[in-house]
Parts: sequence; C-alpha cells; structure tokens
Amino acid sequence: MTLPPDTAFVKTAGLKKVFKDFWLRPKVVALEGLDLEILPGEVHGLLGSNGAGKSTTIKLILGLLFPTSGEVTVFGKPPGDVETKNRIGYLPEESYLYGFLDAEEILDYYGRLFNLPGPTRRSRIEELLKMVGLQGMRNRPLAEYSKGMQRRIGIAQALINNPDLLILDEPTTGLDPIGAREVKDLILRLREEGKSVLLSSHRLADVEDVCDRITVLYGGCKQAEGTIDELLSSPESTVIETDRLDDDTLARIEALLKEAGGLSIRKTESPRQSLENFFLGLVEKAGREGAETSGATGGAGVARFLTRERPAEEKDAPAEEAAD
Amino acid sequence: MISRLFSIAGNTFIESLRRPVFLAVLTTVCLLLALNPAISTLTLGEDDKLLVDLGLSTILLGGIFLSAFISTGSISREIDSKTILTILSKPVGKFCFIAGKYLGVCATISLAGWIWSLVFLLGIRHGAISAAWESSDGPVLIFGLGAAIISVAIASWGNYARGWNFATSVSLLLAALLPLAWTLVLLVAKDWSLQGLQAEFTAEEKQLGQVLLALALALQALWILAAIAIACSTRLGQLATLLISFGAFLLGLSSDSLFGGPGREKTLAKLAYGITPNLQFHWLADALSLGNPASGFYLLLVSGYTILFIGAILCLATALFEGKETG
Repeated sequence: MTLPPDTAFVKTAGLKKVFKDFWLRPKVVALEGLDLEILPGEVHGLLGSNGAGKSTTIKLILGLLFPTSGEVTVFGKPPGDVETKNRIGYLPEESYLYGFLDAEEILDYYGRLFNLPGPTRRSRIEELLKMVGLQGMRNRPLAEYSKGMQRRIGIAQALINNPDLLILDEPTTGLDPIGAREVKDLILRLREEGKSVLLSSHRLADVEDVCDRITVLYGGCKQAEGTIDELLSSPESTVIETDRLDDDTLARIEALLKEAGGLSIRKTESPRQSLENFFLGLVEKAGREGAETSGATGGAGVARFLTRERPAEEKDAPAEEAAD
Repeated sequence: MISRLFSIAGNTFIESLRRPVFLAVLTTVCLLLALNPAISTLTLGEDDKLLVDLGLSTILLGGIFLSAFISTGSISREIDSKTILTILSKPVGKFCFIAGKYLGVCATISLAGWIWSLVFLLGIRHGAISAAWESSDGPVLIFGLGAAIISVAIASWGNYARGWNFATSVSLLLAALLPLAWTLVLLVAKDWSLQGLQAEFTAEEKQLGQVLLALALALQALWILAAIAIACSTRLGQLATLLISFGAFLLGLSSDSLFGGPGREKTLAKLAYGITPNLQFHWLADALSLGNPASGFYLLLVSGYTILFIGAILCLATALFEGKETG
C-alpha cells in the first residue's frame, strides 16, 4: 500500500543507519533500506530480535539519531522539526526518568514542555495517575518505584500531550499482567479515537492482539510487512468453536466430513482459560474484597482527555504555543 | 520557547539542590566562612585584610568545586542516563535545552553564592578577634546562628512531617533568613545600640561596598566556568569535563601573565588571550588588600565581558550539541 507522503503520519524511504567507531569506520549496519509507512488510525507493530533495528528506527523517526542515507518524514516534515513533536508521544525502551522527582512533579514537568496551560496540566495529571493506577503513590520519588511502576509513569508521560502518534518501545516490559492488559486496552482505545500507534515489542502475543499491520525486521532489513491476517492466516484449515460436543455428535460430524470430501477431524479439545485471564480474575477478586497493596493498583480505564468525551474545558483550552 | 527554557532551568535547579553534593559543599563552605574570623586572628596586624582575602578565596573555591560537580554532569548525565530521550522527543530545541540547563546550573551556583556571601558578610561584621580583651559580636552570633538554627529546624520538621526535601528546604530557608539576619546586624551595633543601615558601609576599614563588588564579580567568574563546563559536557564525559573546567580556571587566573607578557602583540598570543577567559578581571581580592578600590563602571565593564563570553560559549555549546546524536 503506497500513499502520498502527506497522508502517512510517518514515511521512511530507503532508510539506512550505520554506526561508526571513533575513527569513523563503519562498525554496525543497524538499518538497511527501510521503507515504512504508518497510517492515520492504525496500530503498526515493529517486530524483530535483539539488534534487529527496531529502536534505531524509532530514534530516527524522532530525530534523535541522524540517518546515514534515505529519508524520514513525520507529519510531512523532517523528524528534527521541533513543533511536529507536539503531536508525538514517546515511551523509550527503558523508563528513563528523573529519580529525584515524584510522579506528579515529573508529569507536570513534561506537561510544561508541551506548554500545556496550568489547569489542563493539573487535570491531565490527575486522570493519567488514575489511569496508570498510581494516584496513591504520587508523592514518592520515582527512584523508590519498582520497575513496573516506573513503566506506568513512562506511559503516562507519553500521553500527557494527547498525541496523534504514539510511539511505544517495549511498553509491556516490566509490567505485571494487569498493567500489560491495560496497555493493550489503551492502544485499542486510542486506535478507536483515530490515533496512530507504533508498537515495538518482543512479546509477539501483544503485537498480535493489538496491531493492524506489522513490519518484521532482521539484521536491519525488512523481512515482511502486512496486516496480521495477511501474514498469519492459514487457509488450509478451519477452526469451529461451539459448546461442548459429546462423542456421538463428534462421530456424526466426522462422518459428514468424510462424506464431504474425505476430510477428518485432526484435533478436538476443551479449551481452558488463559493464565492471564485466571490471574486477572484473582486480582480483581482481591481488589473487590479490599485487600491492601503498597504497589500499583488497577488503572481506572482510559483517561477522558484522550477520548472524544474529553472535558469541555480541555476542548476550549489551546496550548500556550501561540504565545510562545 | 521561554516557558520551556524556564521549565528545563527549574528542573535542573531542583535536581542540583537535591543532589547530596550540594548540601555537602554548601555546609562545608559555610562552616569554613564561619570559622574565618577565628582563623584570621593568626596574623599580626593584617587581620581584616586576611579576613576578606580568605573569605573571597573560600567562596571562589567552594563555587568552583560546586560548579565542577553540578555543571560538568548536567548534560552528560542526561545523556548517560538517557533521560535526554524523553526531553528531546518533546518540542524542545537543542539550544533551548542547553540554555535551560545553563540557567538552572547558574541558579544553583548563585543560590549557594548568595548564602555564602551572607555568611561571609556576617563574618566581616564580626571581624577577627585580634586581642584577648576583644569580645565576640553578640548581634552577629545571635541573629546569624538564629537564622541557621531556625532554617535547620523548619527544614527538619518539613522533612519529617511533610516529606519536604531537606537540602532544598534548608537552602531556600537560609537564602531567605540570612539576609534578614544581616539586615538586623546592620541595624544593631556590636554593643547592642541601634545604628543606621549605612553605618557599616561607611566604616572605612571594612570596605563593605568593595567587598560586595568583589562578591558580584566572583559570582560572574563562576558563571563563566559553568558555561565552559556545560559546553564540554555536550561532547565529553564528566571526568574530562571536570579536568577541562579546572584547566580553564587555572588558565583564566593566569592568562594575563601567560599571554599578556612579552610577545603579547603576536597574533597567536592575541588569539590565545582572546579565547581564554580572563578571570583576573573578576578577582578583586588583590586590589582590595592593596587599597585600590574598583568603581561601579568597572563592574559594568566586567559584566559586559562576562555576558559576551558566556554568550559565545553557549553558542559554541549549541553548535557542538546540534550535530550530536542523542539516541
């Protein structure tokens, strides 16, 4: 699928990145001739093994690294364009945060960098802290947070500007199953709101659950690209899910299949619930029974300002950009 | 850009205040300055000159030490810890980032300089006790120590009851209460009689006006060194930046004798003199001990030099940083 350059939120053409040593000799070819498009309202997965070039691609898109050759445009502009970054949210692969600040201070700091007016900033911080389940720990320095809690704050900071394009590098790393589920729900909800998400992850199940299209990288080169269905569907077999069948019914179905063309049932099973669902059920039950925790709690759904139901004052309050 | 600049400056300021090294250096220099009147009694007849000389040297060296730890790591630490990724992926230009970092570092150094200056001024008012029959200055001890004790008490309470950061709150309280203590000391003479504010300024042997001028210039020298450290920090690690900063300090204090002697008309000497910070401009202690007063116009001239030098260094820092990959 090829679109005019101004239609895709992100477009790269022949993108190449070579890292050099002290003597400027080529050391590592991190990316080689990458063509990539991220369309409005799509969740695009970036898959690859360690060192495949996923994080390099993201940093090139953000203008943090400079390409050796090839082109990148973000919202039709070069990646270094400062104002374009008003529309981008970014979660790095690790939660690189200021340990001496607490959750509220750090979100306020990032909100200020987007020139968000004070009342908007405060209401968004409230909503985001609720969303990531850290409202009870807002005044603890981030250095005292667990890895997963820092990850939650990292996600909150990536959303403070209500971005049109959200770039998530390994967002579920370090998160407990509740957090991971919430991130996936968030991504799906943001897609419903028409936002684009670029998701880089090792966790294939996460990518499969939420992505519309994926790009697979290996050794810095694109190995495959397409929708999940295009890449994963297996037209040679059919799976039917129904209520539990007794042996007699199964035998009749098998006879029917034989009659229809010599087919047979290869496998029948009674599916069990996933460990994820089992765990989430237990945690939800403990929460309902009022068990206490000093860690993160389950989030309170997606923050309202990220949706079309956002508060009226948010719609009326433009960023202080013009005054800047 | 302005609000982003001040946000980055504010964050750098808070970060610097919360680093343990800030409180350690602040306290050490305060104690040395408080002991200054006692140490100055070890000379014969030159007590007051030594008091000023020693105080200014302590403030300058303390400032350099503080600047070395705070400025040298301010950008390289962001790069090493990769917090810079979350900043430069937001609508923040590289010049804005560098200028914000610089302002934050300068604010920290200035806060420390402000507190040290006030302790130093209280020490000058106390004076050296050069003879056994001389008594201590009661108002200095009561108001000065009172300000310190109240600051520590409130900061401790805030830390215990409200979770305030101790280093931040004690420094801000000292910065607010020490001027009050000094003003009270100016109004109350050593024998507890009331006097006009100008009384201490007109006392010839104390040269208070000149001391204030010297303090302002010493602070400017620290701002220059901070700018150099910031510029180095864009490309070098903390150790290399630290070494270059100390080198710049030593070179700055000796640039007159190194490049201003015989052969100073040579192009190379002129060039070296031009690009080296001349910190002799900012060092008034020698002039004070020789009894050569500096004028307000001199302060203006040196301030102009400081602003231009800092501007040039920050432009260089931006140029160095603009081409640097931060991923």
